[in-house]
Amino acid sequence: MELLEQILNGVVNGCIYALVAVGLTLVYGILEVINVAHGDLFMVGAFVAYFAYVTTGSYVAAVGASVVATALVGWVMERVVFRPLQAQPRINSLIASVGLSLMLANGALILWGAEPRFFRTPLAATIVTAGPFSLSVQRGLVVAASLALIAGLSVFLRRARLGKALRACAQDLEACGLAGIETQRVVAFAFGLGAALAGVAGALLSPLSVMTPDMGLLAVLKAFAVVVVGGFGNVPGTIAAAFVMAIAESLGGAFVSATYQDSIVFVILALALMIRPTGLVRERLEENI
Amino acid sequence: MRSTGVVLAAAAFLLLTRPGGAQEVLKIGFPTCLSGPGAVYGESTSNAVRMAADEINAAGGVKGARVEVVLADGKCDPREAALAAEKLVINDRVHALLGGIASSPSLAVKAVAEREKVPMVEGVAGTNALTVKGARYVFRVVPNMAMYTAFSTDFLCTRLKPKRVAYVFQQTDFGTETSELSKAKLEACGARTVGWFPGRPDETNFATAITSLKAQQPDLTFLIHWPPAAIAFLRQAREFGLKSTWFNVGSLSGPDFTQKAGDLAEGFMGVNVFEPGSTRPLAQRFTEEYRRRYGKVPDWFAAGNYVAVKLIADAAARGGVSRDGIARALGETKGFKSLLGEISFDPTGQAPSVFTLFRYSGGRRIVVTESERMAAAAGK
Repeated sequence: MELLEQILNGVVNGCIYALVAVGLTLVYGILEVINVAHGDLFMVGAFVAYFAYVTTGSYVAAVGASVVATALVGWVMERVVFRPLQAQPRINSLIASVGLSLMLANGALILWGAEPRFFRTPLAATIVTAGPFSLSVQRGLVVAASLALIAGLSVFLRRARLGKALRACAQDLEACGLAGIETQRVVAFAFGLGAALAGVAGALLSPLSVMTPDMGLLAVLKAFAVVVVGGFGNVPGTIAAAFVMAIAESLGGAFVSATYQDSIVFVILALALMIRPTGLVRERLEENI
Repeated sequence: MRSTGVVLAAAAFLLLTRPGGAQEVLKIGFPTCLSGPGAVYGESTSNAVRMAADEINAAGGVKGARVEVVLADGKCDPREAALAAEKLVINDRVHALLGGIASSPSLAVKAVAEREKVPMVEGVAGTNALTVKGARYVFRVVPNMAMYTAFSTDFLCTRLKPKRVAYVFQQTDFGTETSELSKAKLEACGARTVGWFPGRPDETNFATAITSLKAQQPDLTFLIHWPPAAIAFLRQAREFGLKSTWFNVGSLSGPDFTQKAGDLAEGFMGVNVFEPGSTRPLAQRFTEEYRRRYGKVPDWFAAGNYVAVKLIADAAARGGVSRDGIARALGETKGFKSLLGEISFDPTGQAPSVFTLFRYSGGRRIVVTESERMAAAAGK
């Protein structure tokens, strides 16, 4: 029984890891840039959801506000920071993203203070009990919404015009420009989309936890590990890696050692780099999204 | 012409910067947690030390010297606290240091204090390793962990008598030491350890630990975390249906935590050294003045650091406004009257302490038991 519950815990965590990591890998797929500030978008999403809920009393409005706010922040990040550095060595963008991360975390600290925030939605307060199992409806929503978003993203990337443009730009940005695709708009869209996914993750998780301005750091570290294991720029790989690592983390913490629970993700990262450095899901050379 | 100008400029510089006539300043450095998981205590302690400095200055200062508290953000992290302490000692040239609030950062500050020969007075952290034989510059006005656990486990073994005990704690000096000491004593009086869950200080996801604990059904759970992690744990414990008596030593014992946690903390028991409702006159005066200035009641973190500043000022009055003078006078402190009781340091720099154990019930903090002064020797 405990085994089943721990797997379920891993699935819930995997949903959050997947949403955050997919945004990171989308940006990398196109620009080959790691955005260290991506975890702070998760934090911004959580805080915006908190304030929107406290103001309106509506969780739907809270999630909506979170999506809009983080997409906007992502778009601004691209326009103001990453676009001017596009022609420069990639290390410059990486360093700039570190600065962005510090700005966002400290900005949140100044704006919202260091006190932990939390809010209770009706869904988080509604507990469903089935025998020894006890779970909030909010946790079920995390799984359902995450899977729906992941499925929607897959369909979008395969079928929608803009989704195909995203995939094409990930293969060869320059060639897309020559072919008439407005690459700057596609890149900006990728940033906004990735940011929105991280924001949604924050909004979904916030009623179950507490929020602090520095909560983005661990999120980006785990997302980075997931992206490495799944394969940079490889969305299906990233999603698979998120669930594998989250379930391993949950089972390892429960049945092996709670002391080393956090290390499990990074042990898997190290093993993946040794055994399968290109990523969990084999990617075809002609496309990487 | 040019050389005349240089000489005139140099003379003007010397005249403007000569020290004579400027008021002496007793600078006290505080590498507190202005950010990070312990930041709520950074605010209360910063308020308290400023209040202490203002009171001393309003009464004429320390032999004419103005008291100034210099804050730096140690983030409740050992590495950051060490950097903050070094900046305070080297750049700001403080005469004395306060601790880093939590045990791990305070140990880092201690290393700086001992190396740079700057007296340090700890007003919060409880790790036994802070006040040890041979540490010449470190003093503590609050209990060490041995004293805390002696008091709390004595109560638990004689009154509550738990049979199945779990430990959910932050993997820091404070959390690990508290849990290990408590586990040893409770196992000695017949309690079985059914869960051992170390975690990060900023942990917010306890689903794995709670799911495991549900199967074990502990009747007492030591929750040794900062407020953000503790509130996350209690929320998720309720969600998953985990029931236990929650017990804490120190880190959750301020009124702020029980106020924020609300009904999540129903039945919670905590140990500290100061309650806002204390009847001791100095404690009452402190609480009233703090409430008047800041609009809220102080926690024991604030009380400990308030006492630390007052003690440093007293030591400077006795030994002079210098690092060596303050360190020597601190070592000679006997019977200093404070809101935490009378302070005299033993050879390791540790003061005896009084304790309060409270239970949170129906929205109120109810004092369950108090100790008389417990000497450091009794706790070791």
